[in-house]
Amino acid sequence: MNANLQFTLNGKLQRISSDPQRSLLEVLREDLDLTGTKYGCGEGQCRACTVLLDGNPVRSCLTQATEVEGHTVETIEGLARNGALHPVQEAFIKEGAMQCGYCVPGMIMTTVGFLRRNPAPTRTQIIEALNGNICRCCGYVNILKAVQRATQLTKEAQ
Amino acid sequence: MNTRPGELDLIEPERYELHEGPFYHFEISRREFVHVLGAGILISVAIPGVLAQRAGRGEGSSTLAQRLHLGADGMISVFTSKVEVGQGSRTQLTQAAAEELRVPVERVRLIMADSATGPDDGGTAGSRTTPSTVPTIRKACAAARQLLLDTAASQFSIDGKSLSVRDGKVEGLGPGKQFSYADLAGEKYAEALRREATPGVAVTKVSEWRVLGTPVPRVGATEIVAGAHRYPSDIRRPGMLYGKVLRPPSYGAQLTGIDLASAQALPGLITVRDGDFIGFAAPTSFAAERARDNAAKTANWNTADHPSSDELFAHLRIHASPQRSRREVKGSPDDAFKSANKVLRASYHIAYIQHAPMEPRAAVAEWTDGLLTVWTGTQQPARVRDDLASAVRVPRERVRVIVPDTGGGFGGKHSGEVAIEAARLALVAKKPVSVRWSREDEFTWA
Repeated sequence: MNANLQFTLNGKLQRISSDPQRSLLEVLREDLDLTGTKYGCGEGQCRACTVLLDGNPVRSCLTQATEVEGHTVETIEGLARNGALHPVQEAFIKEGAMQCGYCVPGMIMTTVGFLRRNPAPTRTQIIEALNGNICRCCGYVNILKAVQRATQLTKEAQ
Repeated sequence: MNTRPGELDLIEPERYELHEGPFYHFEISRREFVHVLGAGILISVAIPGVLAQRAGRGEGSSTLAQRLHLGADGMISVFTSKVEVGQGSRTQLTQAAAEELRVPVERVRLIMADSATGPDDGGTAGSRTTPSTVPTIRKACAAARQLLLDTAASQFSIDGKSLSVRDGKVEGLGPGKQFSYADLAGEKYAEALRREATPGVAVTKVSEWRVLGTPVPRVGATEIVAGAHRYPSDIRRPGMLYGKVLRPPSYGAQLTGIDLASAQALPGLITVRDGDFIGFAAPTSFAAERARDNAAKTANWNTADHPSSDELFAHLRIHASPQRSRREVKGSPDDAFKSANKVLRASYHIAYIQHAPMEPRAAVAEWTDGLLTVWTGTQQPARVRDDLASAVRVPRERVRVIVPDTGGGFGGKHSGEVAIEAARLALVAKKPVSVRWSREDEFTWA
């Protein structure tokens, strides 16, 4: 039996009807065609599937669709404003912080959630915040630089 | 195979895996069998594994139409069978083309790994793209530039030697005269594109490079950071279903019985059994997975014994095929030991490792009027096309393989299992089917 669910997705009201056992990741990707959120492992080990739930980074592969009822979800597709990329997205481009790029949406969503809570992090705090996000291409040096640059860009934008 | 010192081009490609050939051999129906072979008896013959990689086969295509498309809008499309799996080949080859064409990087559209359009530069392996494909693209684009110059020279009756190309336009034509790649693309010159490009046009000297060897933003970076790039597992086609495949409990296990009746009764669910292949397709991955998992509970298997990781090397010493093993001795180890001041002896075993790309294997297969199109993440599109043709028994000309920029390969994505699974399911579903391996599939069966 499907459940009728309602939540805020990237700033807009979203209604879906889904089997309650399905993951948020699958609903986003298959029902809503928001394929920017990636499947990497399906068991919360790689964080390629990170989205923001009420502003906090969560693993959408381990989040059931029913858990977002009445809450707010942000995905990588919702970051740009009026065609302008988010400062974190800009920073990832500027620092070339991607190789295959498959982990990048999860990296960016984790960073966005983290910087909202801690806008001026130390290098160690950044590493701790992103420690669970795996990049198999091992582009961590540039990813770290991108997050540091994003902190600068965010500061300048304010 | 011996290494030949001094012949750098003959470096043997890295060997990443043992290729076993298609995993599934679909049963030929009697009618098809009679049609193809005539009445008779079918004898199964094992086909030896093919280890030869296609890497390094980069030369050969010399007409402009095969390598380049000049658009009337000024966009220039360049074709290659190479794939982008995170190593940066798209950016690098785009730079190579832009350099020789004398156009900005933004004006080049690199069409990678589409078997319907591209020349065969071989697969992407063994670090061959830089030494083989960059020169191939450069030569082809230098020839295109020369064609632009030659055509402009004859159009304006000017000595071609006084002309050069800058920003996609011919310079030196005189006041008020213009000629660009977009002009060359005009209908009037279409015939020129069908002729052979002048071979042997000199490529730009390294000391004169303006684009190659300079940092440029990664091509496609904006799509990646926006979550807009469609990796193979993000491809979506109208009416597409999601497929899941039943895996044996261990390597070599034989299915002896399974109850598929309850799955077959489910509305909207496609169930396919063909030999040892059992797969399901449904409007959601969840539904396909649930059907697969329920069916798995009813399955009986004859499992085969295998050595554990601890016993593996002892097992291989006894059982490894001499034809497929490689023993490499250089110089005289005995003499070296005798003349050494000190001898240290040790044996090293290295575990088999998983390539573990971030994006597990994925494919979307779509049949249209007997033509099969497959979007999949592979480093060997030509080989996957051949594997598909063989597994579903259609001529390779009726199979098209497209490789969207993929979420990692690391030398592991050389075979076409997931493409074959998607194609088999799509054939029955009569709808496009996407099969995306789970991480467990990847670690167990890749």
